[in-house]
Amino acid sequence: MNEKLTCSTPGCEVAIDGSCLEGHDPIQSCPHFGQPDAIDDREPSEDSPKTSQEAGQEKPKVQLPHGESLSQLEVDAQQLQRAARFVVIMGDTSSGKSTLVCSLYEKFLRGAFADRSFVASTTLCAFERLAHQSRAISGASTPDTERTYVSEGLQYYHLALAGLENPSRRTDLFFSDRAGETYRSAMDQPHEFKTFPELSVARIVALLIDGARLAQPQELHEVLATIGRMVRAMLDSGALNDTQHLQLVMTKRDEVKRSENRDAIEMQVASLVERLQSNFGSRIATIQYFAISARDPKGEHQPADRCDALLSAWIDAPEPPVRIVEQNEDPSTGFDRLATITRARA
Amino acid sequence: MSSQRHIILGFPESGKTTYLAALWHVIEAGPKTTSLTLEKITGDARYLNKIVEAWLRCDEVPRTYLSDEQKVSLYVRDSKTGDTMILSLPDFSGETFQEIFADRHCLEELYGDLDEDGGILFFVNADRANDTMSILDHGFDGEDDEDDEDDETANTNPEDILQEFDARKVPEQTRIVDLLQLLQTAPFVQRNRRITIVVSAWDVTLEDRITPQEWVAREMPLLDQYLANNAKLYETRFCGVSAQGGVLTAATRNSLLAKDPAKRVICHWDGQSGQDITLPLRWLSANDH
Repeated sequence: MNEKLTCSTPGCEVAIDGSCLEGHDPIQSCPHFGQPDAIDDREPSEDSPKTSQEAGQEKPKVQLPHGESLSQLEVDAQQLQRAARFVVIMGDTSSGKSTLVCSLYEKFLRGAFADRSFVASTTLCAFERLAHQSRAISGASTPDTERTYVSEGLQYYHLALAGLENPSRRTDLFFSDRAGETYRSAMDQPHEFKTFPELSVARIVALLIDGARLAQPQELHEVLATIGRMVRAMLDSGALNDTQHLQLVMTKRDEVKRSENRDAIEMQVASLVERLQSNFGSRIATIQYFAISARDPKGEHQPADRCDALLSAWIDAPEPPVRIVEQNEDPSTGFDRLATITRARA
Repeated sequence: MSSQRHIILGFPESGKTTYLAALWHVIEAGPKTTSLTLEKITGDARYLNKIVEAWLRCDEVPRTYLSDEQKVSLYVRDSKTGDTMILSLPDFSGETFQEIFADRHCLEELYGDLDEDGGILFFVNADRANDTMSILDHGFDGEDDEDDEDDETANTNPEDILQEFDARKVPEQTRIVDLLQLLQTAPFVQRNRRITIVVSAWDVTLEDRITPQEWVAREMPLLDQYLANNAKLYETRFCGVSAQGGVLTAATRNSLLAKDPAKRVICHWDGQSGQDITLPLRWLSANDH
């Protein structure tokens, strides 16, 4: 218990007396608890943040929020301030997870999109990193997105949007991003899906189907079969349930459209979707299908083509109905109320 | 006496130093273009004198470097209202602001200046390149398909010299939005603030016949959306300023030199074009929140 307590609120003395300046109890519920101290702590100080000046010639600096992708803990802290909607974007390696997130951000750089406008984002630096290889300034001749590696673990991007018709209706979205290999390997041990925190908090799970691989005859059947098995594994392991919406999203639609076999591919995909709806429809809130072209390298499709419908579905997907649970008779104590809540969640 | 402290913000070459030079001349010389007059000045005036000399000669006003940071306070009286106000305009260099986005920290001294109740004068330069340009914007404007027999290999080009990601070169609108968000996030105190987005080099937009707000919506849509959706945090006005009055070429320089310095200024404010560059400052100070 000798770990140093930190808080980013200036003047908070949690490190000294363990109490929160803003009165949060427990202190862990304070959104600033655990954040780096407001003043750069290269030179730890008893009572004055200015003592870091003594460390050398460098002028003292104030540490600011990092703006990069967020960990689960950081997302949880933001959730305490404002409710948000979680979207898990999962799929095989190179299926276009990061490109999809990036293309949505890039649309808002150019104006309103999908009848929504930009309100805020705590991960602007991370979005910009994603976008770099698609920018002229990168020196590349073909747009690309840096892939997500297994070692990066789970990370989130944040985007808050408002409706154009109803600007007061703000929706905070957290998009999860994790290396495709992780999900792939979990198929061999389905119980591992239960250990992914993003799945337990997600309202929407967008499972990407790599359109570029569908366009390869030798890949088509394997890709579709893998999607089917992945859905089954998540449901059978209990990682997904009937409060969540599953979206099957065929990415790189431009590649499919350019394929000679496009009709056959689209038929096969439609057949898969129908089968999944028939087999698993009762075990999950909804199963929907989308086909998008987030970034056509040949420029024949608009950037984020058909992503507007997908984004709208993320925002508009209904919350599960409230379950009415008979209350304990005379819940006079906190434990009685807790028992009611526990039964409601059962 | 109301006492408010406003701050000038902007990234390198956003026009804030030229504005400051013109402002210093206008309120010090007390010409008839403004109702603000200078009562006294505190701090080191060498920096102001240096930049105003360049401005009066129609030379490029020297860019502010980190070591040049000077903090002065101008005690100004509004002859229309009789109010006296303190305009503290710490003109920190653009590099100081670059550090905020790129390195995620800011000088403690700047932190203190930023974490005030006063208004913000945020500069963006209308005479700028499009820094949001994507590769697809470049490559598909009609001249790309002439020799695409081998387009299957177009996705990889070993000749490309890839540039590493540089946080100092991300689109300016992203950096501005990020900064405005940071100012409302701990360790800063969240508060309602007045902000004027000052579009400098406004003379280059005159042929477009648009307002400063329309310019921001066209050129910096993310910033426009952010400000529109965060009116509870930032009460916003837009202003177009040409502190020099035009582009400094050999020909225009002579015609600009022939004018009264205070009258070569252009200030588009509240739908009207005039010469009073103190209007945005007076709005920041107005006691009608």
